[in-house]
Amino acid sequence: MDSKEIAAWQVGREIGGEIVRPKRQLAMVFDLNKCLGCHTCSIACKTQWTREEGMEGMWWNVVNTVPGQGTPKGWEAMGGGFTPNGNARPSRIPGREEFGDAWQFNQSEVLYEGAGKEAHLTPKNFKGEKPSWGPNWEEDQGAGEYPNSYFFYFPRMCNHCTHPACLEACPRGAIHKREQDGIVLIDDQKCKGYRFCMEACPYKRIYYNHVRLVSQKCIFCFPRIEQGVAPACARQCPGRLRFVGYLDDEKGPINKLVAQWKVALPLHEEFGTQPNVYYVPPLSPPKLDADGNPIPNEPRIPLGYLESLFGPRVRDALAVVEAEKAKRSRGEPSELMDILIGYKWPDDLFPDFTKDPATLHRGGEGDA
Amino acid sequence: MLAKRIDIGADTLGDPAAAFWGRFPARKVSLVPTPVGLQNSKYVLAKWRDGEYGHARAAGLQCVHNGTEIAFRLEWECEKAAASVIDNDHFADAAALLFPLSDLAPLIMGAEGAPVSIWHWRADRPKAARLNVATGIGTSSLTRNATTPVETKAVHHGGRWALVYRRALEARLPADDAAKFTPGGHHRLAVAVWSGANAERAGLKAYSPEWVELELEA
Ligand code: SF4
Ligand code: SF4
Repeated sequence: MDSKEIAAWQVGREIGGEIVRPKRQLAMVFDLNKCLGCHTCSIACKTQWTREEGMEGMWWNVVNTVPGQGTPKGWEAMGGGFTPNGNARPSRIPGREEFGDAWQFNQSEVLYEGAGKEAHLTPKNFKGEKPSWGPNWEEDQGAGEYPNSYFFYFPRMCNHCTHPACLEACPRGAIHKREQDGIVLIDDQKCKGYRFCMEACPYKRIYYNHVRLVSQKCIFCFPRIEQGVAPACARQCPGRLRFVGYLDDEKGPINKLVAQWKVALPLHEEFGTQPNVYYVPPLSPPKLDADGNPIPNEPRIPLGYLESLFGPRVRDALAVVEAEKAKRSRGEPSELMDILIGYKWPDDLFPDFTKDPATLHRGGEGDA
Repeated sequence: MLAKRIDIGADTLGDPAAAFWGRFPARKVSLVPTPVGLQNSKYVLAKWRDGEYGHARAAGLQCVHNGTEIAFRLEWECEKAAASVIDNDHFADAAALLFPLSDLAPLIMGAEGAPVSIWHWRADRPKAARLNVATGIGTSSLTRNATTPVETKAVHHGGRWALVYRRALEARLPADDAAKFTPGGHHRLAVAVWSGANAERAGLKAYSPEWVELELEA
């Protein structure tokens, strides 16, 4: 399609059997081998964007321990996105308890009303009941039996999809995909709180604000992006595993990891939305047999599980990372390892967005 | 239908349970589900193609005025009221009256250059209707200069909602976006009803496919 003919509302939609693409697409790559599960990303996001009333239970970025049910509980089996022939796949709206919500604690009873010796801090969910789920309920749980138990940390956020199911679902056109960088935004002036987007997003990354009565989600820190500052989650990440950049920038880490080295893969490609967050899958030590001896070619994290997340290409991706790692440990050069290690911060992680936000002129107060 | 002119105070006029309403027969307005082909979303199409929505089959409509105020009373069957939104998948019952702001306005949400005014009541914000203007499907937005508020009062009783919309007969200026009424005048309106328990919202509703003609007694 000729880019000159594209109207803003068309970007990200299927029109005449073709997905209308933005001029450029921002993307992230997360190297799962480096995630510490520290949740600094989630907290950075919360501090920056979701501190207001009605946003208490919102975690635009979450870091789940997997395998597990995740956030919201059981999201992978909820449907949404598109079928292989491009039809919308029905789903449902995840409930507050499934997201985990924000618990209330009896602080005043324990701390100020003299009952501190008998009463203990106990959480209550939005119904005033004992919570049965939380935003990070399965921390460090994982799967498998000792000595072959395993888990890894799995950061997730809105994928700013090339064919966003949320955008296609909104009957009001309140969601748009920016032509200059592909960021997907909900216009909360246009949103009427119908929540079709929450239903349609197969990654279940949209929350409902019960105070403002609108749907809200990750905005890829677009006001920071516009100032040359990396998104808060990426800049604050102590693991230095969140790469940010344009997908078509052949010199940048994103294009190298996704298109050239092919070691970064989208999550659940079969959902059909063409996500723009990519993952370098985790390597793991070999499984042990009953005598405690390593079983060659049987990684502790079962390949079948990784395939269920990243598809069959995950085998090749792991093999490439493994081979380059071996090269590097023999003292040979490896561009891939250099990229993944990210020696120079912030330049190697997000070359186009290295500006220190502390150097920006601030109009208001309260910036992180 | 004829809107009688009666000598009754504003408070009583705005009360759906007031006895005077019993003196005026209700006009039965047939409702149908909005055709699935008109749903402005691939997702809604896919999910609701075979689903049942637009549960209300008919509404009873009455209208009276007292020379300064006009009141519409709408009554429809709704087994279990959905009046609060606590969880993410809760939706509240709702009802709307739609008035053309131009002679050419199509009944379904108006068109460009031929807007409609929509009085949208929702059970979870029961005291006033949200006033919207629309110029086509998916375009409704809050009226910018809502100078003439529409008060609402509803009761749910015996498996039915009874709702009254009450407004000053004459719209205050600037009144471009407001429905206009004149004693002795002829007007038109349409009706829509949403069932919250069935997750009805947006185009998932029951609506009157034909205009209701209204004459105000002079
Ligand atoms: S991840 Fe979900 S919310 Fe984000 S763009 Fe894709 S479909 Fe929309
Ligand atoms: S900040 Fe980085 S290391 Fe910490 S949980 Fe997030 S992605 Fe993982």
